[in-house]
Amino acid sequence: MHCRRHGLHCVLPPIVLENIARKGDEAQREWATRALSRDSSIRLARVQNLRAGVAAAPQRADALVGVASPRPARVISDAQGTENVRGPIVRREGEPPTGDEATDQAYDGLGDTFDFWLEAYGRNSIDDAGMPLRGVVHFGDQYPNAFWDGQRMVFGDGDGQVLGLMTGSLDVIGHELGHGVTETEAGLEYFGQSGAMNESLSDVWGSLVKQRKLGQDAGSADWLIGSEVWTPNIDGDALRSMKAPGTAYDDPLVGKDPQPAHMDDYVETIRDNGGVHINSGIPNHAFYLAATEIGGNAWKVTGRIWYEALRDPALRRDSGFAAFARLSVAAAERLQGQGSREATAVRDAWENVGVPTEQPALQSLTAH
Amino acid sequence: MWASRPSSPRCNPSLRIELTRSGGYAGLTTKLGELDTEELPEAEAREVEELVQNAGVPALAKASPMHGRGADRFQYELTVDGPDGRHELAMSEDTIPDGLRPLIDRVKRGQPASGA
Repeated sequence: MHCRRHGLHCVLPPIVLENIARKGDEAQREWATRALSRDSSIRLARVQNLRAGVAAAPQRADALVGVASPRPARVISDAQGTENVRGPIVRREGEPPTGDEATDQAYDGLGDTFDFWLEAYGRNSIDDAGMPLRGVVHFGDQYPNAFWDGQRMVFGDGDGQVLGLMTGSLDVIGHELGHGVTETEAGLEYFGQSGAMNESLSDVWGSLVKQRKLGQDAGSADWLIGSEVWTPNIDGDALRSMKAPGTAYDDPLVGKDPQPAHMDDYVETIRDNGGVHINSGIPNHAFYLAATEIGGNAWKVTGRIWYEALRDPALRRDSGFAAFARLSVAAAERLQGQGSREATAVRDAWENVGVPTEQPALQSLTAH
Repeated sequence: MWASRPSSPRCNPSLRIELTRSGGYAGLTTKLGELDTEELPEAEAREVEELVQNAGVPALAKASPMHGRGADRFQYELTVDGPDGRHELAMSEDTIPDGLRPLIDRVKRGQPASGA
């Protein structure tokens, strides 16, 4: 927090800010909410409450008593084939469809993703403080990618040979917005194992957004990521499979899905930020195993456990799979009870992909 | 004078350069181009050597990987094999140094379709 510009925020403890966020006038509520969202101590307080036996973390969205239910604030802009992310705005919140496929898919997908976070976990947008959802479409020249640039979700049109319109899969949109959530919470560094964990979390949220939209339970979901973005030229079901990492595609042009499903096959590479889109297969599969063992709608219990682990202040920027695994087991025990079948399912899921969930004796003070 | 290349002797040892793109949402690895100055007409070989020189490749290799912001950006890996060994550069599409862009563009164009 920058004390010179926002001195008041710095000296007010979170409890006072939360009171202002509840009872202040509109402007006061606005800045108090923003100050809270920036304040990492709120994460600490939340988990201390949980550990002290308070059953459910107070949701900031719910805490704003008297404020209307949060609404998304979507802003779609058109890069017009350039790499300028500040092109003309083509659709704002509440405006009717434009007829442009990418614009309307991005608008709808961001809306579904906002609803997912709000209704499943009480989270008000990316930063849990109503951050506008900025989407950029038609980025670049036949650009075969979608990304999160730290402030907005950016979608290319695809090259037409290998990959098509990137807004065509809801889980792609859910994935990119998920990167914003992870950045706001644990800020997992996008390199090596912390980066692969970051990637996996986005695949989890992307898949859960889609499953919730389709009303699927864990047993009936396909657990595929990006199943609509290959062109018909490519022999593949999707870009990744959480159910069976390494089997999503096998094609002469793009090769074979390189994802491992177990630590024994962890890939060390300098490419892809140290294999973040490769090794994410391991935690992806752990989520799949836990969700199918626990059963029901995966976002309700298993997703909630993962979300609590992501928000745990013990999860550090450089935390790897094992740190997340331990925190997810701890979250399962807090939410479902020690020795519950859900906690056992989470523990077994990590063990089955070769990630230990027991704290190493000599590193008991670190989250590694 | 050097028209009978590539078999003729060279003043400078050859450079071999390879550019790969990885990462992005799809996580696909694609070789975007490669060059061997031994197989280029003399004038073009000199141009490529100059691009390598101007880019400051050894310093960039030391600064690698040059991480970008956000997530799912394309990653580029550039390797330069030359007389002083092998240099490996890794960067995000949003951290490509301006001084390196001309070399990247040249490697993307690859070997000329016709010879000298």
